[in-house]
Amino acid sequence: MTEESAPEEEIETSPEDSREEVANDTKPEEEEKRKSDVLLNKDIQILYQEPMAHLHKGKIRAYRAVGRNKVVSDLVAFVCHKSLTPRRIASIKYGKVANPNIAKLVTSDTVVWPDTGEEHFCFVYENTLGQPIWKSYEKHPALGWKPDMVLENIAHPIISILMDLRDKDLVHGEIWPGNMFFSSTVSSPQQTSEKIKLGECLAAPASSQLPALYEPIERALASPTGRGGGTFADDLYSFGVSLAVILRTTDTLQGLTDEEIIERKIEKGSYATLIGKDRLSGGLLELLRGLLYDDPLQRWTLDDVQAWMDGRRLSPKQAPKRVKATRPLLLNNKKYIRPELLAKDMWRYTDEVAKITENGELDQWIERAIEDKILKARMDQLFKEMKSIDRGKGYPERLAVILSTTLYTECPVRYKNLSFIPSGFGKILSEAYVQKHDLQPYIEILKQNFIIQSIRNRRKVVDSSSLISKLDTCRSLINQQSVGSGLERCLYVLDSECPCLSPVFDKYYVQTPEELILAFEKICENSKSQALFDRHVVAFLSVKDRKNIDPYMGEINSAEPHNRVLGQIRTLATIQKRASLGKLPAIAEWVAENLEDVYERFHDSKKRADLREQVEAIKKSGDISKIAALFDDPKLYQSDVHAFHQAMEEYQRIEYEKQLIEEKLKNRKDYGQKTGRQIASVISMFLSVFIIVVTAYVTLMKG
Amino acid sequence: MAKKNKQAKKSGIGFKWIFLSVFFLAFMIMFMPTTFLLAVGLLPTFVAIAVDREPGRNKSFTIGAMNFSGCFPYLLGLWTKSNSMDQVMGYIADPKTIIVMYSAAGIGYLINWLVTMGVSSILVQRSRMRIKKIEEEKKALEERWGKHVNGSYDLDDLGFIIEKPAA
Repeated sequence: MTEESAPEEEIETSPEDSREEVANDTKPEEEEKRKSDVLLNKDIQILYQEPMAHLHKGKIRAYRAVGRNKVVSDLVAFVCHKSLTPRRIASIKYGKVANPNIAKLVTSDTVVWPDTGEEHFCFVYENTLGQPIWKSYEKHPALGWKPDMVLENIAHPIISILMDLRDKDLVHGEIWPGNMFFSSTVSSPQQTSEKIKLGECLAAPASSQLPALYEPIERALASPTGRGGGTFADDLYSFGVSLAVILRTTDTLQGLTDEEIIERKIEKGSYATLIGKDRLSGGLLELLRGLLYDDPLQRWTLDDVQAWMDGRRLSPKQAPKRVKATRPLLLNNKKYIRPELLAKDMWRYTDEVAKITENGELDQWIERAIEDKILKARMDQLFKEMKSIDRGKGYPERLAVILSTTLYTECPVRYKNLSFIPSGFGKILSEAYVQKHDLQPYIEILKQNFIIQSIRNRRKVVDSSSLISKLDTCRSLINQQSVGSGLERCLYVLDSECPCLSPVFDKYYVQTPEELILAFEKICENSKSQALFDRHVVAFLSVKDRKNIDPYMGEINSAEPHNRVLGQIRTLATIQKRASLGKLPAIAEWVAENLEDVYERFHDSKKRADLREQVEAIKKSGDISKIAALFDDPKLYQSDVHAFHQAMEEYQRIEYEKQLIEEKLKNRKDYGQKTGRQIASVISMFLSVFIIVVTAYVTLMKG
Repeated sequence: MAKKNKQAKKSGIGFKWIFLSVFFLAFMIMFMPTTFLLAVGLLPTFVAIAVDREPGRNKSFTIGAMNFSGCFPYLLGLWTKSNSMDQVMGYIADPKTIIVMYSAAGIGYLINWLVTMGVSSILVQRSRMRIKKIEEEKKALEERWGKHVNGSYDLDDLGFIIEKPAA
């Protein structure tokens, strides 16, 4: 965890601070500015008032950063947005890539942003990136660069990067001219012979920042965040499109929307769509053709590219023609002759799709107009299974999804306004949570079998068995209402890199149970009454490490408040102990303030007072385990119950005694009479004996 | 067999009373002056015995003891002098004798009344204090253990109030 920059006196007292002299001579304005700069560990300072606009990528912002001591001084920090899960796991592999033509990762960590006070995750790279060779997301380039220059300064560097990434089993996911940079401020390739540098790809989910043009057809149809991890074949396609737009002289796609570009690619193929009537030289032509195959199985691999670079000429692959119907199918007054185009539009016209399915029109069209036995067999199987589909509410939407992914096996799942590749569902779910979208469609998707069916229809899915297993788990979780289950748990199961999205952590970026506890510590310093455990927190902890919280899940889900509190305290204690986190006085204070329901479980107010005293004494030590241990002994509760029952009996006894006395007092006149008479008789007896003795003595003395 | 025992028991009880009666009668005849003096002097006692229905007859005893102590000087005089009926009649005819005897009985009545009243007041006071103490103990129990220690709530096995669901 990091904090805002330390005050000047702390910088002065640090013997390792190489900028100590500068700090001492600083003017007041600069001093004020430095105070507000962001420190990411003691060696790197992010100058948050110096954004680097040419490196901004959508919601991800880039800022100049300065390194100290042994760290390179000229740095750039990419600050991630909470709705886009950064690729932290991939960054470990990325950091091992030693290629001079890719942005070099220095470090990554969480920083507190000065103006909002919120934590953000950021990646820091060496600032070797100049201006991008293309700046616009909306318009597409047609740069017309010379093939020799492109080959030398772009193709070769990118290919070497892709090979290094392949060795590390890492997909880049953001290869396009907007992420390619000159290494100086020069903006024309004619003015420099330096190779371009490829920008970073970790600050957002893979491919989420890539314009649709650079994605293969089936991935371009998905929403940016829902494209999933991608493959090397997708990187090669992006590379091919990048080369095409850099080489071409005219933009044949000007004015077309992404959807229209995809349709054209389906109709004509990517190469023809991108290049159009441009004439390119033979050298790169072959490379382009190989990289722009729409069928990923036909597309060149890196080995093919390497062979081409070595001068070997590969036999051209005949791209299989897309299936085309002999007559169109009418849907919403639009004619469709390609199953892919029909499949991609089904989500828009669900009622009509249901109609043409129920009346057999779709089946007839497939059987008679499309000569594809494999497709026919697939659809026949589907039509048989359709009899078991629930025809209740939402039937047309569900039918459209199933039909589209069967008709076009590589089609993303398109349900209502969502469109995603199976492996990308986790990312769009986390984005929806952060952006506070309606989550009902996501719940409906998990309850149905859409995604698994799509996986099974596809030719190849990376890590499909693991994904299917997760989706099966989520399908059972989504119906469970207990805390720790439900959609929240599905989120963390499906997007393992997602930080905890609990509203408790609005200002914090929490990625591990240890960071969660430390964030709690900060939150508790400001507020003792805030509830800490909600559905997100419990699900997050359970998914990250079951041992932290699963033993106490029953208590946390208990209907009784005291059990819930104890479950939460024991969870906190377990995490503190397992992570060896040291003192947590603020959390201990919070625990002490929130034990009322537990104290109420003791009948004996003296015992409660005693426990309160012990808790007050322990809380200063910040050891939550000790507080939890106070309430672990079952004998504590048993003895209290036993003593309470004894107190009840005592109460009844004295109440009965009182009733007896009151009953006697009702006869006030006769109360004590018997005893009084007995005492009177004794007194009388003694008095009479005395009188008799005295009388006898006197009489005898006289006589 | 049981019937025979009962008859035997009945005849045993009867014989005892007869024997005592005969013995007492003989005693009266032998000690006629004393008997006559006591018969007159102990009249308040006889009345008290006749009126007193309380088991143990403590009041009768109180009056009787004082009454007897009032008669004793004259008894002593009788036994130390002639021990004759004439002397007895002389005593009885003297108003002072009757006053002394009957005043002693009166003092017995007074002792009984005063002591009974006093003891009764003390006991009532003590009971009221005990009730007050009990109330304090109950309050202390409720403060320490909660209002439900009084047993007027529905409790579960662990002693906590069972909340009734809202209608």
